[in-house]
Amino acid sequence: MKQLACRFFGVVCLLGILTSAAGGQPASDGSDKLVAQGNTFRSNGKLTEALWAYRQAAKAGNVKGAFAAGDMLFAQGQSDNGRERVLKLSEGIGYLYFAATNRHPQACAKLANALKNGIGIQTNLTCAYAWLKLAAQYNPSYKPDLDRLVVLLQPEDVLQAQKIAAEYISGHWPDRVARPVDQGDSRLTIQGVSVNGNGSLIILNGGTLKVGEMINVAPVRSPKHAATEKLVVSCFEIGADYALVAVAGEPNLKMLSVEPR
Amino acid sequence: MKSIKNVIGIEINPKFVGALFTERIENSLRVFCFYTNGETSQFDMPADENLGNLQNFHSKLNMDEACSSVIVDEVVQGRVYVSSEGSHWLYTLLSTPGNVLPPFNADICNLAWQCCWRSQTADVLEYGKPGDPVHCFAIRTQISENDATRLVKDSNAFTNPLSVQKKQPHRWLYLNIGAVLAFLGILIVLTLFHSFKKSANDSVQSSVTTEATAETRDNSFYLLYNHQISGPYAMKIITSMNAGGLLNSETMCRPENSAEWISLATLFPSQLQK
Repeated sequence: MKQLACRFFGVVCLLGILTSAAGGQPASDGSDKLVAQGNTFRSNGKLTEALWAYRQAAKAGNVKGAFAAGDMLFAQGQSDNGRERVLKLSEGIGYLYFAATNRHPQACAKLANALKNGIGIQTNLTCAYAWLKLAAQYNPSYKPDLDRLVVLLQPEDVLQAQKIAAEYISGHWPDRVARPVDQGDSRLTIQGVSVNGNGSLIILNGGTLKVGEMINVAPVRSPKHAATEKLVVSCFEIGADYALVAVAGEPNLKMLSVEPR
Repeated sequence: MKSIKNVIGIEINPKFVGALFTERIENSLRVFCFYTNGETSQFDMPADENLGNLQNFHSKLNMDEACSSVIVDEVVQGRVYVSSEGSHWLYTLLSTPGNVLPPFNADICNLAWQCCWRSQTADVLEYGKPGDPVHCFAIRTQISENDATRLVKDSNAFTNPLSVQKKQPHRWLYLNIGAVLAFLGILIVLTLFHSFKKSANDSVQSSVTTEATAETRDNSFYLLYNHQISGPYAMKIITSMNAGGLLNSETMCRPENSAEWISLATLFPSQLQK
């Protein structure tokens, strides 16, 4: 009898979790508490703890938590340099994207600002206007910002941005606003880096590579990959202690560290 | 029997010239002349055989060799310096005994001018047609901001003028009040009549009223041109600006209470100049 009761309880719990996960509003009481906890940490200056709480809430699908995590990471990333800056901005934009696509006006406005100023993402005024239009749709206090942005656009870009915004409003979201960044790749190793004003370059798996260039390299020998399978690698950014590259056919960018000698 | 006549020459008395505009386009010389009696003439002629004659005519008008246009002071009613959407314009209103002019005030640039002759440096605008109660010409030239500031300063022009509506004479005022009262009386009678009549089309009427209200509210528009927003302007003003050639196909507009920009070409599909 006890076993039967336990099984019944288990089924009810499982059903509850599935219902909550499948629902349009996944935020639960628990994740709201995490956001509240994060706010308390943040107001007490415990930023690491606050970020942990917000991340946990975001993982549970809490939109406010995602926005708070994105907002924090974005602010921290802007004040950081090098590898930390790229990673924090990338992760921050990911959280903001989640919140924005759940119709969070501030997240939409933050994304618009990032796209307008090219912070952690390539500048794109058309998309910036589209996101800001969404923000203004959900919160009219952003309307004056729309007029400040529209004067930077060409007429055809305004029409295109409005078309994009209409698609977003109807729920046709872009797959992403920026490519996510993975830390490291076991197939790729930087052997050297030269950073100077004339053009930085890295030595990657024995080949030299500049920003904007593309090379074929043999992956570092590992049991996972066949030695003959060559990778097409393009370089996006080179810093003093890192390089941001992409492998053809793979969606995420790779953050490769320059190992200290 | 039909006679064939070829005009082999035209002579203009320089004493009757109020304004003269010339422009060379490839092998052709284009001429627009405004006379002191309000008449105009415009014609084209071959450049190679007329350059000398034109220079000679310019010298009779005391024009510099480098100039291609002249406006004699005696035919100038006044000048209006206009700043609009990042550009500066100079309207020179021409006046002669043969013309009846509209009131010369700050709204002069918003009239429904029609462009009757155009060169790279100036547009000749015409208001009304010959025989109309009001008919005149104006010259519109685009000038730089620096030139606008300098010209206003040098000419001691009155700055930032605002038009004031003329007061109606009392006789007209009483007449208007009477007409309004009569209209209100009719309106009250009609309202009372309709209030007793329970009609089925009440809902239709209310929707029409709502639509009309919305239309009135949205009748003002902001304009976006050359990376600048201006307005809001009433539709009537935009129509006048368009007729005066101040707007082009790249201009966008949005209703005052909306964030949606539309191309002005969709409002005036056949009228906007490229």
